[in-house]
Amino acid sequence: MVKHKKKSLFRKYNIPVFLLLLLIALLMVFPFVWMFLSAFKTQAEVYAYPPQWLPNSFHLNNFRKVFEMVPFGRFYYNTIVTTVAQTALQMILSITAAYAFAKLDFPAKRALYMFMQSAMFVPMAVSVIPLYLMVAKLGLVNTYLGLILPQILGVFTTVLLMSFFKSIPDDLLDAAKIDGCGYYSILWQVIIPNSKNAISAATLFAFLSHWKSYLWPLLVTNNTNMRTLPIGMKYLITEASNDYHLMMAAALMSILPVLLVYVISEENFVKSITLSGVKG
Amino acid sequence: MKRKIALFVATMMTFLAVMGSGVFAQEDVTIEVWYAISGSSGESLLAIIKDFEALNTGIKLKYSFSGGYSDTATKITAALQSNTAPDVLIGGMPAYTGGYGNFYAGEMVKADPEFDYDDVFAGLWDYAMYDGEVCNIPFGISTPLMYYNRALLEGTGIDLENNPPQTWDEFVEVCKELKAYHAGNSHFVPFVVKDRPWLFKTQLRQVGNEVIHANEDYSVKTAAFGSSETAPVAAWWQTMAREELTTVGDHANAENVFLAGMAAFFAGSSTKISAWTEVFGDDLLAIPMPYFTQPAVSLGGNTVSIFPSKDEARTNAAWEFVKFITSTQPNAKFAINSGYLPIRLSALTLPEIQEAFAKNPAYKTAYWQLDHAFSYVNIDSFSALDNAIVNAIDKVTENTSYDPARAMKEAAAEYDLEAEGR
Repeated sequence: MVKHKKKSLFRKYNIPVFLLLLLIALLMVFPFVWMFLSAFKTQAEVYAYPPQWLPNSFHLNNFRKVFEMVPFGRFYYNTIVTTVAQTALQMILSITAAYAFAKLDFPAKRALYMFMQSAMFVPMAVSVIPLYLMVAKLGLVNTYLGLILPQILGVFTTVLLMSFFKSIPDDLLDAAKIDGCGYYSILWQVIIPNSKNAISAATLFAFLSHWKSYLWPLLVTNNTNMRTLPIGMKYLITEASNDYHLMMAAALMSILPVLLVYVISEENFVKSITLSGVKG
Repeated sequence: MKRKIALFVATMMTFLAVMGSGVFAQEDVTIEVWYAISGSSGESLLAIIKDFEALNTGIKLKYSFSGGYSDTATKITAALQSNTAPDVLIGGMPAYTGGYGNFYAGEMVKADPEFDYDDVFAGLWDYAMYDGEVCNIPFGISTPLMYYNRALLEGTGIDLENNPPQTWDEFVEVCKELKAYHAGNSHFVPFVVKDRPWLFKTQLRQVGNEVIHANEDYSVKTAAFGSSETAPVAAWWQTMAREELTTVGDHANAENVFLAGMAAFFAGSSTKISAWTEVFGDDLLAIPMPYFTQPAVSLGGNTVSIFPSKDEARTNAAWEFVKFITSTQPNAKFAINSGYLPIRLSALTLPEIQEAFAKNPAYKTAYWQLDHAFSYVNIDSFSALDNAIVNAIDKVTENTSYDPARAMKEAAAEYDLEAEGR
């Protein structure tokens, strides 16, 4: 009887698969745990061999030192301002573009779509200098506009949303038209409410990509007060030293807003992955 | 008439007195300074920048970090093409100035009598040249240094302070002794190195060989390491691998291995002295770089670039600022706090340098190595050169029966092919 119970438990919870998933989960969580613990260690504790898992004391010296070395608060402010603005603008453009490509008919639609999609295959490193030349000519170097505007065109989020919008039955749109809805009303009252999960996922992708953006903010700003967190992290790296304890403290502080955004949108994000199969 | 002359003289004297009093003094000039030096080295740089500001020369500085060396390359390329380059770049390379036909700094170091050209270590000027002409000024200079962890030598009977290995063959013997002594520790490795190409280029010169050969007008630059004379260098790496005296394959982790106390020797930049002394204390020491037939160390680090603007006052201000940061005292102050080496011979007489020597003997070793420092001809693709060298090392260390001469010949051909395609 006991044997039978054990067997059913084994089958019920699929123990081998559970253990495998647990192992993978631990592997994925490990870097974060290591980062968290290292943020409180001294340099000697970081390099101790055999590895020292826990710091001798959870002091805040590393965090204090980071604020002494760089204006981290200012970098935080700039990153939040630019990321929120970029994400909002990118989502407005992506939603409207995706709606047009998915549900409207207009001349050269296919060619335009191909043209837009091809931009996905051009690496940032190739386009960054011509983009900088344009921004410099417009006098936008060292400005928030210069930081934000060139980064708001998100082909990936447009394509992602388009695939969702296509799955919305045309009958719904036709019914809305009969009820007197125009293009924007249909977008606002039919498309968006039916695509909340997809929009939430696309927003998270956009947010993450802007939050960690490094090369463009570095190029377009020459003033410490305009710099963002990823550049701030680079301030801490020296050819000479391996101050991982400081870098981990800075990294821990810089990922907190990202974790917050993820926690808020987690439910919709998971749903959208289930529906689309898109992985980050 | 006399009254008129007296009036004229009085007027002129009043005018000159007013001018001298500064009432009509020239307005402050603001120059833009980018720097590619971060972390504690960046802080050391900012300290001397603030010293300059404290002098109240009428030159205002707008300074900002331009990212690491590779990021700075992208940033300055974009800035040069859009005419938005800064007045001064600290941490630049000759390619950003000489490569664009800008030899302003090179002209000024010889034209301005206040700049003591001969007080800079002779070999360092090669590092600031583009196609044979000085276009930058050496600033944050480093050399590869052979560090060792004295704690791992205790009980071995090896006395590196008084009897260091002078040649690479002697070095191999010391490594063998260390390996035998630490046989019980499976994690121990006698020697690690992260930047293999840098050490390899040092060794190429140590066998009397150039790294790059340029023709007279620098229009053709080819690999100079394809001959059989360079085979002893590759053979040395092969011996180290065959005798398991160094790691094979994984070199990215070399610093961490040394910092964790699992390696006795580490070959790497002299810039680590200050930072690593905090970790090792008195146990961090260095031996003069071993050699094959002649001592030599390949220079590393960065230089200062000046980008003349249309505004002559700004260009002059940029030169005054650069002159200050490359002068003996400020440069030595930056060097001691950052781990870079002072560029000036006169720095040796400064008490702070003598104090640094006493505090960090490794620093003294690094400084004396500057006598044998060299720099090879600038090329367009350092990564192609480094890749070719790494491939040669991998061939002879992963297959210890691979012919070292063949590996060198293939590496030279690989680089030439890559350079030809550019």
